[in-house]
Amino acid sequence: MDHLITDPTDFAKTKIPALEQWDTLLRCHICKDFLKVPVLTPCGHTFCSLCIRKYINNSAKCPLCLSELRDSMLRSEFLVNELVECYTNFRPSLLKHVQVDKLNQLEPEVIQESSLIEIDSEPDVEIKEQSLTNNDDIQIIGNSSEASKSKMTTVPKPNKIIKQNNLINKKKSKSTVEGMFNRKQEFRNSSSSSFSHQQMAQCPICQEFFPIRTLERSHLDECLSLQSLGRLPKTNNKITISKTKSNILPFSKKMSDSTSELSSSASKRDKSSSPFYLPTKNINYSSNLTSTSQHKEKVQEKEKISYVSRYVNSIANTDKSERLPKLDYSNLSMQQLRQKLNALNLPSSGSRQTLIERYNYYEMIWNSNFCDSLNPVDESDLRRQLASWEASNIPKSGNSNKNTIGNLIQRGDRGYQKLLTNFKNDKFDRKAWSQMYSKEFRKLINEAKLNYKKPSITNTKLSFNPHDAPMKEQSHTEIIKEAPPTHTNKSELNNNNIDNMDDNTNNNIDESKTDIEKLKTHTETDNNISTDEDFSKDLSQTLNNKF
Amino acid sequence: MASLPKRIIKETERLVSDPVPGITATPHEDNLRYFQVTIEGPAGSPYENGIFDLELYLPDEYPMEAPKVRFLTKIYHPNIDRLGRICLDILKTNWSPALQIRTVLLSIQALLASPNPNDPLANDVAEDWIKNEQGAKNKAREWTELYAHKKN
Repeated sequence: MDHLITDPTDFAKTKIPALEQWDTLLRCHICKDFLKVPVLTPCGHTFCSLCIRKYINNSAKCPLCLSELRDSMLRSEFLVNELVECYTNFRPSLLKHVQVDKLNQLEPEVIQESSLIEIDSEPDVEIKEQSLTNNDDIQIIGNSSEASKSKMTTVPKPNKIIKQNNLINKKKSKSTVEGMFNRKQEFRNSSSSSFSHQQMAQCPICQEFFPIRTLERSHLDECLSLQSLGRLPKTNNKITISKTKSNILPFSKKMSDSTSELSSSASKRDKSSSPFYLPTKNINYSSNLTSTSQHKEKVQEKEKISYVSRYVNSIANTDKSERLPKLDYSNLSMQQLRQKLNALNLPSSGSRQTLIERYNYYEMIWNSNFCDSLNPVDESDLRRQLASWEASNIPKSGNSNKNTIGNLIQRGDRGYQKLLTNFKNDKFDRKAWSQMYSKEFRKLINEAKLNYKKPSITNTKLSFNPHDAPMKEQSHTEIIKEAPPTHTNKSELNNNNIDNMDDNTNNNIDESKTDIEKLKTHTETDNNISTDEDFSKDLSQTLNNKF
Repeated sequence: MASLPKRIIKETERLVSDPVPGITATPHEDNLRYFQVTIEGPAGSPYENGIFDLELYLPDEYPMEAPKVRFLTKIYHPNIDRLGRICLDILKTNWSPALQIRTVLLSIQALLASPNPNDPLANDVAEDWIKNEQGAKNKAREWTELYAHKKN
């Protein structure tokens, strides 16, 4: 879903490669993304609040230095929070500015052109990201300024310039970006020959105006796919334009001609409200659209200050709302547990294990939200988060299980579910499992016997095939397949407790292989093959004899 | 399929765009959590000139849980058993989410360079290694020649 992948290495080939380190430092070592609600550990390391709380639930130590860590020790880091937010806000334009190095030597006109292209080229990769609206904004101004450009008829000789830029761009950008660029180039060529409003057409989905070619070739598809994802098409173009301006000020000044036109056209669109219109954070700006650029600068100033003032005015939230305590589940009856959940307005249905997991997760997001975050959301939001987490993490009865065993043997019965949950929780009941599937196992074994073909001589790998076994559980089934029935009953199927699969079993497998081989070929080699290393040698001998 | 966490996408991209020397990791086309890995035997070790195939699987809980890694190529090593399972602390108790695929594979390569027979997984190999180190190394070299030889 989320395709925005910003990486510190984005800065590796820019004017200031040291920014790569800076970029890395502002990221969480657990999710490798920018720190979100950063918290400080007593050992001096910083992580996202949610990331570290999730990890502490598993093991109570710092991921970086392995020193002891409990969640009550975590402290919010307001400064880092503002640093990261401020940085992520200007990062796209920073990246752009340190990248366009060579172009500065060209004529001013060219710079304008190239900066347009730079902006255009990036978001194609990142277009689907929803959380970082900044990037979307840039994409949008790319499009719309282009549209306005086609009306301006002030581009004297685009071909030559584009060629130049193309060369530079090729060095920096990936193929997708290039594709995007070429598309623009085509459009620009055509538009330079004859500009007119007739070439613009309205997209039936998002109500935006685009050049017909762009609309036909790419935009409709994009718009439709966005729609099918249930996300609104980029109707917030109109909302975000002003914000983008504020982000890239020097650039927007140059574009002042087109901005007036932009804002007027944007205001028109404002009136023809789209059916997909959804209010967003940026809605504050939408009302300012018709006003002049002065106002935009004000907006920028306001943003500049806000990080500082927010930091200065930030107060730890610990006293405001209570921290949810950890529960000692061993002393809680099922009823008490239900009461606890009910008190928090949480659903109290499901098995004991489900209830415990539910409380644990809720406690985690609650504490992260009310203890660490500067802008806590309210409880109903947390409950929504919990619901979506449960939907994807706690298996519901029957189908829709991600586990490969689930795929391997499609079963909806309860016993299977129970076993499977235990399987995940390290309490796997091997006997019950092998009893339940003894028929299947035997069938598989028989099939394997029938289908068993001589393994290729050059096969240096262990007895199972990676293509058939993308997960470990399957690998083990593979082993079972090849083992004779007597071994099946004994053989251990437990993935988590893998060490129980001792070497004897393994030898047996190899022996059984040769047994089957003998059955098949009816050769009378009486070699007693027992070790792995001899196995393939002897096998090749046998085969050579046969032919 | 549950959506792939951003972190996994990032790591995969990095592995492909900026690979570690001597190590390749390619995600399986059907399951992006499953990687086919090759590691070159480190120079100066008995595994020199060998190319070892491994499989790596990122469990649902990754990065909170360690990736599961296993040798597919047979190898004579005191810390790797005949099923290819690897005895390495960071894959078990010392896993930390600050580690990543890249670092795990590097650690495995380092394990090839310095076997630790005092904390064995394959007991017979470890015994052999302690009793007769040179002989064991020769055997490891033989196996490398036999099973992990460079394919053209």
